[in-house]
Amino acid sequence: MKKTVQVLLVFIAIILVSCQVQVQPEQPASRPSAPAPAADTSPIKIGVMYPLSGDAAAYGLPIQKATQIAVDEINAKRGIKGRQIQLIYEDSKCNPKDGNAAAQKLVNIDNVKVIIGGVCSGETLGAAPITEAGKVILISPSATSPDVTNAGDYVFRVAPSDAYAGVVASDYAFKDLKAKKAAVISESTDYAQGLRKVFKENFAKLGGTIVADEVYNPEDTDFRTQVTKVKAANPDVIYVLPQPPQKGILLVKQIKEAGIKTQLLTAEVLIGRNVVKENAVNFEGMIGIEQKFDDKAPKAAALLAKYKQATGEDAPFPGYMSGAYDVVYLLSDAIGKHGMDTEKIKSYLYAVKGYEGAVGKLTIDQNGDPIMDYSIKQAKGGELVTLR
Amino acid sequence: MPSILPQLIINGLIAGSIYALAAAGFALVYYVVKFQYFSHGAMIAAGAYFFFLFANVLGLSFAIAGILAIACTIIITLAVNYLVYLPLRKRKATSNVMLITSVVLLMFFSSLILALFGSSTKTLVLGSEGQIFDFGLFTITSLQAYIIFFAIALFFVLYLIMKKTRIGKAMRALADNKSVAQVVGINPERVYTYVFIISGAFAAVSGILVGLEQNLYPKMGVIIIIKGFISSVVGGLGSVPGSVIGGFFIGLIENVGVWYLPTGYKDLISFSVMILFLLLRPQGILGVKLRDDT
Repeated sequence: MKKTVQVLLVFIAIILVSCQVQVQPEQPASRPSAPAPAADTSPIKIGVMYPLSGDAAAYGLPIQKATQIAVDEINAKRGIKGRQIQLIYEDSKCNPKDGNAAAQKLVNIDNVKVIIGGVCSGETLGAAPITEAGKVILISPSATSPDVTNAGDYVFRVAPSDAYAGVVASDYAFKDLKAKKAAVISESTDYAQGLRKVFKENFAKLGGTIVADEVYNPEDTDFRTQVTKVKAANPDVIYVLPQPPQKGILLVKQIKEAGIKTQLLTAEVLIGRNVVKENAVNFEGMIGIEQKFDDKAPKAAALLAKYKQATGEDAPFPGYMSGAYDVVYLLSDAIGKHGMDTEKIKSYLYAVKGYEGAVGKLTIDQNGDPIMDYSIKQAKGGELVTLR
Repeated sequence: MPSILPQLIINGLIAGSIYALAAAGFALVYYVVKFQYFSHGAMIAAGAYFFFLFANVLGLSFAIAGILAIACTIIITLAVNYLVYLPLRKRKATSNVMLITSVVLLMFFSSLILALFGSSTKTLVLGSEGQIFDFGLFTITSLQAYIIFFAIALFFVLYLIMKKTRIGKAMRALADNKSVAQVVGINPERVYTYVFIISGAFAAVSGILVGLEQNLYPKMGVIIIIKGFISSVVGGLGSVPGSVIGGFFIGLIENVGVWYLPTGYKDLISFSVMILFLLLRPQGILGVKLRDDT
């Protein structure tokens, strides 16, 4: 039995150690070099926390690029009243723990008053208690979990809450797809679980039945059992909710391999333009819901063209990237008017109404959430076709 | 409701093949060289990333990439043996030291892969993996059928090596009693080299198969070797056939178990099974007695 105890201890040790293998940023974050000499021309420091490494970097990096484009534009035109904007990047890795650590660092060490981010809901929710306590503005271009609505007074976002997206998805499934039985496969992260909850509630309210509801862990790569259970439940529609696109691609692949031909419905993360293109065969016919976005509008078109010029690829998440771009402009306008007074910046943001941004007409409500519409897209031959 | 049991059993066999492959390499080293060889997980990840490098980055054909990946993994496995494990053995390091070293190496290689390839998930693209065979009661893809086939074929080859060849006999002799084996003229280090060659080849093949089926990520070796270790404990530490049986057993019980339980409980099932075995049948399924081998 002594040996038994030893083996168990070793095992626990390995699990503990394995948790320590942390993902490191793939690219160095830009950091402030020397303290600024004169007060007037000193750079204005803005913290940015995005997932810059790991699978979620698939949207973190393009959004980072869009943020940088906006900052470069402003800095090229004398910055904010002659002061350059300086971004301090932290890798928040799409999870609450690293989101919290990123916010700690930005608030307590870099002493920033304004943070842009996070991209994921989990990291945003992890950071909110820190920024809230420090009265620091936290504004996310893309966190969509319903929980962000009540995360704090200083927490804002320019992406709509999934409290609506889940309703739109379930409405579409029930009314347009005429689905009576729905299955949900979701990743256990704040973002995916927020959508899952809203979808389930509203689908049941409409009179439909949820016949299967499977959740997987972020580190899982084998979804066959979930897929088998969903197949056996014989749903009319399957709502697929991954966090990073990679997991969703693998999940859809395993769904197709199981011979399931049911209509797939998903959220914005899985209908990134490049993802749809690279997985044209498996994604054929899949329907996705994302915030309404007009890529022909002047500001949006200019941003997307700049992105394409800089990276050589089409913008994968144009809506979120436009959000990040607008956030920089809103903040620079607010800081230009009120300086680094976060109380006044806060009031400024709550008062945003009908702002013509790249993301469209932007209005922020009393919870710090934007009011936006959705569009419904379908993957056809590697391209997205707008259904509504 | 149509029964999903056949499909769950097939899923269990696929997962079980992967676990059993990982467990076999681990168990072989444990059986002959007598230490807990956790860095086998790192070698599995190395095999997968070598294959990714040759097949996807350099664009070599699958067969050539596969052979190169196996060769490179064997070289790394041997290098680790000569540079780290051999000096430790010469110094008569205790099994605890060997164990800690192998865990540290596992972490080291995970971090090295992270540094070299980045943290994002890599996908191996194979032309025909998508072909689906539908047997009514269950479906299986050609790749999944290959995984099961390769696993069983490899176990058969390993069995033949262990039972029929001189080197296999020498391995068993060393495993039974090192001093006596040395007396009859067996050079342990020479045999250990063969053991690491075989375990390296196993690591590469399991890495390639896992990579094709479930994608590549730096921590894959850690995740796989934990399951391989559980399989070994359940099947019987120190028994190579036992660890293979343990692998299939864990794969099946995980997948069939979630018939009733939510699928998030998969890992809970395998960990619970391992703890039950440790408490009630510490010698594992095949009944090899655990003994102190320091």
